[in-house]
Amino acid sequence: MDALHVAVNGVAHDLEGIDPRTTLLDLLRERLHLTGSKKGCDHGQCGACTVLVNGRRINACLTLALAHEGDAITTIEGLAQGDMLHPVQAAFVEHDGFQCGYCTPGQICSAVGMLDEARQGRPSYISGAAEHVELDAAEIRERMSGNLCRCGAYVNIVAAIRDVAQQVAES
Amino acid sequence: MTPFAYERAGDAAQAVAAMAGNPGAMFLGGGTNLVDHMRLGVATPDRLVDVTRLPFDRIEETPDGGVRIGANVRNSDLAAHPLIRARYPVLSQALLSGASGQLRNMATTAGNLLQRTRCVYFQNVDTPCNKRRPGDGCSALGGYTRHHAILGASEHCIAVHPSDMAVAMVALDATVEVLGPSSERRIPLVDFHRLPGDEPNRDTVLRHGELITAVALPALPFAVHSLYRKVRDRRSFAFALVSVAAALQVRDGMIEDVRLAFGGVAHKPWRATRAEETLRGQPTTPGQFARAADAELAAAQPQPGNAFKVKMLRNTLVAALQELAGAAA
Amino acid sequence: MSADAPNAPLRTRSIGQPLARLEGRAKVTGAARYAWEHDLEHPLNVYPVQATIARGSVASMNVEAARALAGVVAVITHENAAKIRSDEDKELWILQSGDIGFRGQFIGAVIAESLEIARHAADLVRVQYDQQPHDADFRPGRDDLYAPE
Repeated sequence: MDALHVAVNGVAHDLEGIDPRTTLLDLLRERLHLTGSKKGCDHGQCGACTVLVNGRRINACLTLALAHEGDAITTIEGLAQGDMLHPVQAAFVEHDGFQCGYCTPGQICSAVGMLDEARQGRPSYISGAAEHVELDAAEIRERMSGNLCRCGAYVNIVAAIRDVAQQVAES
Repeated sequence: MTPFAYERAGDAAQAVAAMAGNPGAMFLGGGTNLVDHMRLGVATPDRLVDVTRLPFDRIEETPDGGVRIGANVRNSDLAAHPLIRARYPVLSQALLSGASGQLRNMATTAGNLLQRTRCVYFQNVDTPCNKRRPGDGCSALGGYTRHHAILGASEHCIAVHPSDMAVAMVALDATVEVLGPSSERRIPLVDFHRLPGDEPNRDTVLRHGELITAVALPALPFAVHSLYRKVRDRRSFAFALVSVAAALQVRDGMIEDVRLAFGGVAHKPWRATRAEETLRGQPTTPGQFARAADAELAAAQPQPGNAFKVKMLRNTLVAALQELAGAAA
Repeated sequence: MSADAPNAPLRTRSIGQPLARLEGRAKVTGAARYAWEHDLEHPLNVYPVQATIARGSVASMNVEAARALAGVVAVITHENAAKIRSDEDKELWILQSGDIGFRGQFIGAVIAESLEIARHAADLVRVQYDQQPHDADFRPGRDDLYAPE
């Protein structure tokens, strides 16, 4: 059983007695009671467990908690500033980008990470040669392909993300 | 998941030493394949040595104009690097065609090479598998073979290597740099992965305790004219049924040089040397492209469930070469 | 025609209007609670043991290694599970007999102090089966096809 120092949503945690088999997802949900990140498949295939580690989106179910010594983790619970929703969260509400809501935290965290990747000019498979990333629907779908929605809210999810992308482009 | 000890390697020599004399220990990179296989019971290490904090995270130009890629460089960073995008677009495309955004942020270069087949029978500990335990038999033969090999297979194993990155790297004549307990060695990537033969349990020539430190790509000026074409059941986030990595140098309608590799069709990334020989010095016509495909695929031995791959790969190769030849015109 | 006449168009306020879901904020902030996501003191974790054959029955189950694992509280099989009074709802008819109707069917469960221990213990349960051949091949030309009424 091992120790871990990690920051989650800006709060430092000094944890002991961690079973090495514990994934980051189970650490967040079971140990820290941050149940916003969801376990959909536990195999890195659905994206419901997506969180940001040092600002980058990953699947928390496929990474061991102990591998994140000293890392800064942001979960869905850490995106809003008090009462003020993150723009992506607000857009999901406005565009009704969910039904049951189980995939939603993962969708939102993934979108936050994805928008940052696009802002950095990182390419995608469908637009690799392009100098500048344009987040049209096809581009958003490709970059968000790691997030599944069994309720089928994809059309509104894409609309929500596109809305934020346009806000970012205009600002 | 069986219990294991976790340690983080402080330096490469320490990492390699931790492995020596401990056959049950394994290196941990991004974990996107290993952690999954541990959860499935396919991998049962008693010790994990986390190598992700070792300083192998740079992409550097080499004196000969090539590139050295650190073993810990994340797939997404490698795909987005300006040197790679400009000089080896096939590699950037191959990486971007694989997995999902989240997984590309986690996976490392070395881990991508060392990932294991996604054959459903290999991944299910309840179905007999020669790769998991030699002699148990191959459940894929006579079973569900849509995602299995058409080249280089044996009666013991028809599994396919799942990496896209490795296919592009094999086309680019990559070399794997390896650190062992007493020595370093450089292994041509085309020789790094094995065909199953009668030892399907051995995916690569790496010895236990050897640590990949980097992958080097030689300079290849005409690789600026290269691409990766992947065919699969879904538009994204799916493994290849077949894929082609191609680089083409054309002058006055004649092929001066070419590099070709196939994915999704063999136990290792398949360097298509017969196709390359058929193309060098020949005109860029669809007929010639088809002849090249046929030359390489003459040795194909499909399964009942994947016979479509022969024609699919032929078509994909012709289309890839046409696209490159058209861009060169 | 006055607004109150029988054929007057319906004046709506909420019907057909876009609405933000009442639970929207909770769902996008991760505050919405699902299934067991409620604060519990000392929860136990359960992991299923699942049939690896498609048809047949459990001949025997050896749970000794599973039960002996530190942190395991109980191992449930059809031999010691509570009896359900009525088999009217087959969805609920779990662990009531050794009969296996499909691959993946729950044939046991491990209850333990942590997820990792429960999962590991489930892997340690040894099952012997009386396996029957299964037929899951839906194809034309079968002699038992019929047209539904």
